[in-house]
Amino acid sequence: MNMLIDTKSIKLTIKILAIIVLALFQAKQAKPQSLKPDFDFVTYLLGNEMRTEAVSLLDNLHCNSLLDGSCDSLSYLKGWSYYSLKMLDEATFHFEKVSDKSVFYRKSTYFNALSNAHKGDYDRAMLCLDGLSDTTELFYFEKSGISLLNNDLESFRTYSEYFSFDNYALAEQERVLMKIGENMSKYKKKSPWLAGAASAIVPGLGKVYCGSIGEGVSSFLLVGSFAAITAENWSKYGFLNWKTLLFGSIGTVFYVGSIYGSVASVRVCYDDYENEKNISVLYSIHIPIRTIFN
Amino acid sequence: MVADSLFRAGNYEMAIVEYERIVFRNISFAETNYALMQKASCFKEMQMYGEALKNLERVRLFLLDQDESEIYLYNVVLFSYLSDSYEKAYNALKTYPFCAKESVRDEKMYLLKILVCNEMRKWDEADFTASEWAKIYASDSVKYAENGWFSDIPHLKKIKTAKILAIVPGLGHLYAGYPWEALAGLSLNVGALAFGVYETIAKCYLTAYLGGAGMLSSTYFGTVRRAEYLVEKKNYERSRDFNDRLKVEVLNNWPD
Repeated sequence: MNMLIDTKSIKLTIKILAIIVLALFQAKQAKPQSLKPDFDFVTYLLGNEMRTEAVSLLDNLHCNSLLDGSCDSLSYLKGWSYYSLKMLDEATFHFEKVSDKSVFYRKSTYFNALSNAHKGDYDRAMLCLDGLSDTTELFYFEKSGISLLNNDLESFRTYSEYFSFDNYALAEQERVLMKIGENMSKYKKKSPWLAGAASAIVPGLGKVYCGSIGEGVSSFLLVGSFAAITAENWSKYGFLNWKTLLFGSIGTVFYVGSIYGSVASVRVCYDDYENEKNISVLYSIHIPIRTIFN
Repeated sequence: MVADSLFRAGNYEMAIVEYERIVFRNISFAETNYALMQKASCFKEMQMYGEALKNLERVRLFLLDQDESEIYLYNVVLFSYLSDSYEKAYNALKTYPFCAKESVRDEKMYLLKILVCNEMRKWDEADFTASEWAKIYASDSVKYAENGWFSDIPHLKKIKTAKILAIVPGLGHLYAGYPWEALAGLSLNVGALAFGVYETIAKCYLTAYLGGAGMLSSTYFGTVRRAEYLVEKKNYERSRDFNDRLKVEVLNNWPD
């Protein structure tokens, strides 16, 4: 009986010891690690344009296995890697996770704002910057750029008062933004009704009014040719002659098309102008951030 | 090595990262070379031959011995061919020491050279290489010599000839081998000319000039451009057809 109890207690002791050893082993495995070795390696990968490799590595790292403080660095690295791959949704998601205690907070915020601006979410971009208690010239420069993207000239004028044109990283782009602002204040939106009416009177004139001179001239020549042919056949053979009707019909189609094209080209012109302006502003606000933070 | 275990387990994405980490640590040139070659193997398994080639180009060649250099060259030629960089493959082939010895690697290089020259339309050189290969490796080299792979090289049309012939509408299309398009082109041009002449006779000069001459200038120059395009298309079809048939023949003779 005593021997039986001893065997049972020995087995129990062995079981307990095994559990303790396993727990200790797992605790050792789960010891928080530093991000430093991977940080340098990821920086090397991004610097050598091996962005996919950087993302593959970072996707396998998780916050709960890292030391406190490394979490922010991981979020920053992930945001930066996705930004390099132009995956802006993922980039903004990770940039937003960087806390204000991190050394990468300022850079993450600026790039977060830039990513949102590229996505067309200007309100969110402005919100990102508002969360940054910054009074530097760069801060006001970025805000002025986003105001231009939002077509808010009043805010742009307010922020542009902080431009010094002295800072080497900002001076050139400040001048560019001022020029864009000036052009925006002078820009007058074209009227589609006026474009249509102009093309109704003189085919192609509506397109010239929108700024497409070549298209306007070719439209005029095309409709004019058919009009001349129709007139000649009408005068020689009368209105009901098949040639008069044929060329007249084709000419009418082109004439109506010219009017419609002029009305539509007003919208196209405006879209082209907006796109060009946005590309210019996005390029200008991106350069100082890259210069200062890289 | 972590990278090697990942490679053996088929986790190529992470293996690529770990091999690059070895390159990053830069402990020795030999290790770096090994890591880059293995990285290329990972990309090869993922069928990303362009990336595989990029990593091979980073290898330090001065460290490779004769045998390793030949393996390296073989991989460069293979990946260049598979990523459609035929010029690169051809240039690499020029540096390979072909010699009349029987070895699997040499045989593969001969066949690769035939494939590369084939794609570049260097059929004479491909034919010569095929004869060399047949002498050493083909089971019946005499029979090969009679009915070689290059006995029916496609005859390609000349774009310049098509352009000159297209002076007569439709003739360029006929030369390119598209008789119905030739007829359509001729009809369009003759129709526009006839219309212009008819209107001139009827004293409708505006109609003749704006309608007839205007139509004729569009159709005439359009037909010339179309003839050039059709010649390029026909040449592409003929060479593609020949290349594909030859590829099948070469791959049937690929050594294990």
